[in-house]
Amino acid sequence: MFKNPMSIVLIGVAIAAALPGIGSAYGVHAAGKAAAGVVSDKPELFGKLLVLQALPGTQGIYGFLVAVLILVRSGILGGGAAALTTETAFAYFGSGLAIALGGLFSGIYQGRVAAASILMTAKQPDASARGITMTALVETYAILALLVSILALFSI
Amino acid sequence: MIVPMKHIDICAMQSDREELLRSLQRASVMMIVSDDETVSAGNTEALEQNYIDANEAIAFTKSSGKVSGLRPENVVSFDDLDKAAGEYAPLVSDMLATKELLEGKERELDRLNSQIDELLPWKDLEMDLGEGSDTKACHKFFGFLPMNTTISIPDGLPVDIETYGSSAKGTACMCIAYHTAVEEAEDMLREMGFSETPLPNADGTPAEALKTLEDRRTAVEDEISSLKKTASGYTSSIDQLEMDRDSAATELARAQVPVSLTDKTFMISGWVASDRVDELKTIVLGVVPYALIDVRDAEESEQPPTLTKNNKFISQFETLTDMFSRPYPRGVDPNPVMGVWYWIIFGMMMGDAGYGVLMLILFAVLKKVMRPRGETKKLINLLHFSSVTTIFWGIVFGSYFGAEWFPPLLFTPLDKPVEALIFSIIIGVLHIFSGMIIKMYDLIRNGHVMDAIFDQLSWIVLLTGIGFLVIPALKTAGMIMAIAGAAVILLTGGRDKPNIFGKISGGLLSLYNISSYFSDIVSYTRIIALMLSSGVIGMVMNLLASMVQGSIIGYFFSFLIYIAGHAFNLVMGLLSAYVHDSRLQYIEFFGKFYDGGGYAFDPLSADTKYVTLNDQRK
Repeated sequence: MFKNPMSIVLIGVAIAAALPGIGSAYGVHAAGKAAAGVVSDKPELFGKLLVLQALPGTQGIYGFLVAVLILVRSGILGGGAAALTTETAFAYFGSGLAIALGGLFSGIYQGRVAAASILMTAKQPDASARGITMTALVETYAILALLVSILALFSI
Repeated sequence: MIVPMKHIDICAMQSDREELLRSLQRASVMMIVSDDETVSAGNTEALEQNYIDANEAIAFTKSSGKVSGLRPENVVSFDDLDKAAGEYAPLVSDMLATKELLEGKERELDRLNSQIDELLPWKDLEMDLGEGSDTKACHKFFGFLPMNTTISIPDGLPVDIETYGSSAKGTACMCIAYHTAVEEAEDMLREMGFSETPLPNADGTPAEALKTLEDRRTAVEDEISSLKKTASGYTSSIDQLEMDRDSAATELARAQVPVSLTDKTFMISGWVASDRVDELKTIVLGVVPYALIDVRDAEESEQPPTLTKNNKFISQFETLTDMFSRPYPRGVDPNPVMGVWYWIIFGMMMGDAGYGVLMLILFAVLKKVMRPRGETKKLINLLHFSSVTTIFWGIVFGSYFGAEWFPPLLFTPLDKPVEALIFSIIIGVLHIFSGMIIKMYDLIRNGHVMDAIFDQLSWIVLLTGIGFLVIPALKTAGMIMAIAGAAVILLTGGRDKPNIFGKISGGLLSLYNISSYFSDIVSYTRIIALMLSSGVIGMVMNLLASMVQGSIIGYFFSFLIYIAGHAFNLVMGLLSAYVHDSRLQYIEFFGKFYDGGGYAFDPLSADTKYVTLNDQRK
């Protein structure tokens, strides 16, 4: 397998896209369940809750973004992949790990905070901005992981 | 700017109450507050019913016909609105009567349908339903057998089974048995899974009963469709209904005003903006020349409501602060500084000139079509304003729908990510410093000059010094500033503590705050991360779109991907920018100086949801 550096890069690409995707899917699912319950009772809150539900979805986008960036930078998309060596392939692999792990876990935990904020909004619709802020705090670490991934990728 | 408030008491004769309250409501100038002794000014019960009826009529109209969302705006004066109260009552009661009739008919239709369903399997049974199940010689069982049961009657048993139509319950059947064989017949039927069910209750044979019911159903359906036609005709009266709702709500708001009463007089108390006191006095004395008016400043123990007054641009951003917490009436108004920063940072986070142009068009259309009011209007306005900064930063960083149509003015963030990071950190430091400067201003204004220098200025000097360390030319100056700032913090951080140990540990602990300043500043890297993410996703969409090109169908799909991809990216980008820009204001910026804790100034005014008043500022 290590004979072909491209396969190492592609495994990294798959991990970078899939793990944050799993995190986001879980997060959006947890928040969505809470939101659906609230909307059944208070349909007028749908707009506010949609924002909260969408928040844990960004990790999946970050992961997707890094995955495509790795494909482009390594030359797999757009040509130039022939120049890959095993060393650089592992470097590309590693650059994706930051967002993969950061996105996976922050997505899950952000989903839980989002669900709690949704229930808070159900009781106090005026407090939705505070719920959004609390939920966004968790995302900080996904953003930092994204930055590290991008910086690492561009310094290869 | 926070408008100073005056407390005001007005006392007048009860006979003038209605007229006075109407004038106050027209001017929308005074917030009337309740206390333990106040009661509602009017008969709220009847007015509440009007209000509920009005809402119900509107909901009914909207559900029974298409109401255009693009009707011209209904602009009236306050007096016209006020006069309309009750004017449309006949229309509303007509509509509600129609609604009740329609609901009654729909219930009848349901009942008929279920009766028909019940009768249908027995359609071919040729006997009167009221006939009973026993004749001289036989007993008849009526009921249902499971579908596809094979009917086998033991030889010699004087029993016969007749099957009819089927329904969800099974196949309808009648079993006739001589009285002598009833028990054997019961056993046999039980084995076949027969469930005995009484015949539907109706007159005549099932076929006759069905005919009657079906005739009735046709008649009811006709009535329903003609009622629905009447109801859909009401959509042309939607303007009147909306007017009715707003006038009912306005009348109700006036009746709910808390007043204190004596036998002949009444008193209202509340708050008025200090720059409108004279206007208020003129209004009151114009209605009741001998009214008693007492105006005074708020006492220490009282907290007046908060009214912020900013220019047209800044006031759109007030809604963000209000969602966090309204300014404290004796504190500072963060809006003028916060609004400008929010505007700048939002544009950086979007960071694409193409999306900026889309926002400019999109929100202009949205404002035209939706005609939003209140908080929603402010939100849409601030997003609309932010399209300008989005275009600006898009040009600066050379991003047009994710592609680089023109070279950037500064640099391309993807090519120089480290420079981009430093750029976002500089923005963050300036943002935080501006918050600290507001804090200094507030401290100095309240006479705490020392606190301003030791707790705020020292940090500004220290952080600036650390920043200068990176630049070779300013390295020495940076060193001196950093050390001076740190020394001041170390020496003065524990100045409130009584003994020397407290002072030393207090100083050290204050210096430890540097970690929180660093985490705040690092937090601003999200600006560049979000800019990169929307830029790169745009790029990916362009890439995907270009990959399928090649044939006519290819170009078609390419076009679809391009449109859908960028629309998705724009929406997600707006959501992220809104949320994370708010977060930077709430946590990093407000954390430096702002607590809030005020409540809204909510003057007695017309309660309009649909019509627009041309003589009242809201």
